[in-house]
Amino acid sequence: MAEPLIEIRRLTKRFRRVVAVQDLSFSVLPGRITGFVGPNGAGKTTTLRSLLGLVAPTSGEALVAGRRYRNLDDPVHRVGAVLETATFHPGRSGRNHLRTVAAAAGIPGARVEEVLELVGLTDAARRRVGGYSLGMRQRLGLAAALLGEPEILVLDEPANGLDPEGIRWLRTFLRRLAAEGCTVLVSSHVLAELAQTADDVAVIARGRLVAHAPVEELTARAGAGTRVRSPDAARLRELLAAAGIEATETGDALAVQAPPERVGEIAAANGIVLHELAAESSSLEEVVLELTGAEGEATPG
Amino acid sequence: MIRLVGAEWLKLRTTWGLWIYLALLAGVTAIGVAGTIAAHEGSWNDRDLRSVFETPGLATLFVLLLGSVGFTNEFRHGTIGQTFLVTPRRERLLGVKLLAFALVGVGFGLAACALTLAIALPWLGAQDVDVPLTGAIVRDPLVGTLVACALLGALGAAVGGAVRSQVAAVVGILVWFLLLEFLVGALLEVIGAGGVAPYLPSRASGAITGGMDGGTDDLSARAGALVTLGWTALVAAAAAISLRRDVT
Repeated sequence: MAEPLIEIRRLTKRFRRVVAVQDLSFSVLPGRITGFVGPNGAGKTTTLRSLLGLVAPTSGEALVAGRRYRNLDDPVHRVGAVLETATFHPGRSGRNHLRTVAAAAGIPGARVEEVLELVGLTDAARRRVGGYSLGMRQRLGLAAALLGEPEILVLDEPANGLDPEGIRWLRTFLRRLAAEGCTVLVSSHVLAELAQTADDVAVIARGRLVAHAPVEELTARAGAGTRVRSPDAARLRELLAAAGIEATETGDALAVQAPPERVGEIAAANGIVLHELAAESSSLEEVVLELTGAEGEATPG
Repeated sequence: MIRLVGAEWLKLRTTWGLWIYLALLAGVTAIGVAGTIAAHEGSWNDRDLRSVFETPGLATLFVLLLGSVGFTNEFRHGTIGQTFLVTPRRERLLGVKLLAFALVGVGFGLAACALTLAIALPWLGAQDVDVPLTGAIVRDPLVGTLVACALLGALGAAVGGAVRSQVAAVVGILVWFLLLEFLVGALLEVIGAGGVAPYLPSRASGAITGGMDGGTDDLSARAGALVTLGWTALVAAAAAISLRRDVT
């Protein structure tokens, strides 16, 4: 197995009396998109900021490519990061913001134009950031992260403030980066945002890791959730049971613990008419709620 | 290091703040020089002439404020996170800021000196006043201005790094340099430690440009520069500790 590019080892961070992160461990393998999911206040931002050397862990460590961030020789060329609600000097233009980062990292000005083009901000580059929408700021933050053509991207809630179209754009964008070999750790409080993007998901609640698995595994754990209606429901149910798939009646439909593809295939193979076949999109969210909720009860305070 | 200092300069010149400070400095210097010459009656002695060429010393307060505002802007607008991502070694960033604002300070000092010469020399020449460019009347206060501006630019940045709050840094500097230090000096006098007063930051840095206050017990320009350097080092050490805090 390849060496993990990001490694969180028994990380604990206390802010005065508040324990933000407690004994958290997980790692991110090269070339994969890892979603970092949990409710607001679960410790996602603290974890990512520890990883980026902005927050000093109380104990444990957070390593990038086997080293602490501040010990990286050329951090901008190894790790690109977008901090939560990316912040900029409102009086500076988008292009000038990128130029300051590029200048400090020794990146030529031509690359600034490239990343502006990449995130679709070329036309707005001369405008002052103070007039940017939240979505544009997120794009600008992403552009800054990409300046050094890093192999690792760390994104804290990049979908915040994006409209559905923006979220779709971001998803495609991250997929393309991953296809080019980039390793991505991306946080969100909504798993649905990441379900179609991430390869792996780490779920955190109250500062503790509650699950870390490939998305498919979580999907399977969710029971796949397919809603199916058929005039021949009883027979379909028998066939599903024969295939080892559980199905329960809910009103005039069946709630099946398998993905819609599987249910459709079984129905087709046996010539069963279907009136409805739908994936239960909320099922992943329910798993996370279940996981985080259970952890919440287990942790006093 | 040069690269990072260049980036700081880029940060400064891509916002309005720098140019507003520079314009204000130019205005205040021009008014100061013109006012001193216009209000002068009778013949010019060495001391009168020198007071004209001490005017650019005003730049020291501007660069002190600019340094503190420049650094605290990073905290005010939350850009410090991004800055630390590029330069994760925080002491290094502090060093870069000190150097950058020392250089910008020299730039401001040069601008104020050039403006003073551009106004004063033709004007005094028209009045047939002979101004010796070398020596104590012109050279010393102008060179002193450059040295003081370099030191106070760095000191301002150090204060910014130590305090982090822009309002606190600016108010703190203004109150100390314009009011509190005089009160402390008076207090020291009362308790019989008046000899310490010339070593306080405002008096010590003022001595570099030739002591516009004209206090007889002021330090020499050289000693003033050394003491100001000491203050800068002290505040920079406080900033190094302050900057270790978490960026949340």
